Amino acid sequence: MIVHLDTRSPVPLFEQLRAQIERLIASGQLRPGTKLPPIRHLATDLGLARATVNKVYDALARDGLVETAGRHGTIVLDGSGVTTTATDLSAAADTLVVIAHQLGLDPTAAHRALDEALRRL
Amino acid sequence: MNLGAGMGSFAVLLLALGIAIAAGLSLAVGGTHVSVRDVAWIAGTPESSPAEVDVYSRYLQRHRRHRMAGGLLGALFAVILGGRWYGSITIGVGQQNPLADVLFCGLGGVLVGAFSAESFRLSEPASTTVSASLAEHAGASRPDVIRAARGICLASLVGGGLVAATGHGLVPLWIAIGGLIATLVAEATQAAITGRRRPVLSDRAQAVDLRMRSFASTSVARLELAVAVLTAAWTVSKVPGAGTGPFLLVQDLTVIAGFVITLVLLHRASPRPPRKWSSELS
Repeated sequence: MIVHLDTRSPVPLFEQLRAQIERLIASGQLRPGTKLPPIRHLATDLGLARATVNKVYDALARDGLVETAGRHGTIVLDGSGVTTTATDLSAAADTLVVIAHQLGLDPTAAHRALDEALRRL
Repeated sequence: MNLGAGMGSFAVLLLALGIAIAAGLSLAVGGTHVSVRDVAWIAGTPESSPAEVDVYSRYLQRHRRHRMAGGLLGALFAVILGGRWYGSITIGVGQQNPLADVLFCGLGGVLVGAFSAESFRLSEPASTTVSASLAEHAGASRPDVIRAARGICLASLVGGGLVAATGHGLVPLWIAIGGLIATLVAEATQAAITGRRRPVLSDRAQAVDLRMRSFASTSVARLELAVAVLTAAWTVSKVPGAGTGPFLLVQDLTVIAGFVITLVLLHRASPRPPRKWSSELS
């Protein structure tokens, strides 16, 4: 289960991480009961400040997607109620189309960029 | 084992100089050389790609260099302190102080060297994207050994505390506190090993990283137990009022057993494959 953060993106790193974990929970890839890595480990792996990861876990806990169980760490809860997956993908596709259009690229170039991004993952 | 009682300052200086020269020579002449067999041992397979061999070799070399330098500096410290202030140098539990014990200070130096070897940051590839796995970091490889070390360290502290509380002197307590400091260095090293940034470039990179962490964690756990056992032996040896009889026998047996166990653990914690190990066995 890998998360990717784009340091050049205008979207804050906090929001990128929160949205990705939320999507992984909503899609069932992170199952209920799964333990998320401790804040210090994830912060080290991503090169972020601990406060940023802490803020992400707090936000996810407020949304009812995880619960902090003291020394047992942060546990994933049932995320079946979250319905952002389809709309997220659609919104991202819309953004890709808009950018390709504004750059004057044809659909083939947009498809090629998408294929390359998928290969990089 | 007392090596030299009543040594003069000149003799101490000469001995220290000898150790320093031997240390420099051993570091320069290949004491840290990594062979194909060493790489197969840490990799757990004789078949590694050239890039993996390079990573394993540099990692092992770093561990050996740092530990050797730490151990020799620790031993040098014990020689100078023992010769200059205590009038004798000890290997293992003796009449004087652990600070004059080449084994105790050398072991402490090896622990500091291991900590230094593990205190590095994995360089990040030049990219605008950072990636991380949400899987948990692997824990320490030998939690049972670490628990035993903590238990023995705690027992030394409690024993030292009881001796101090009953008015029989503070020496055992001070020794136990010295052992606690060494144990804390080992714990910090374990935390550095398990908490270090993980690569997510490929499955192979992750496997190599896991092998290196597993080796380091096991080795440091044994060092931690070794220092805890040696501390306990020193603490027991300094309990006063033994007199004669069964207590003295128990005290002597504990000290001898502690010395032997420490040497065995130190040998097993070495960043080298056992003599009888061959790649076919792994």
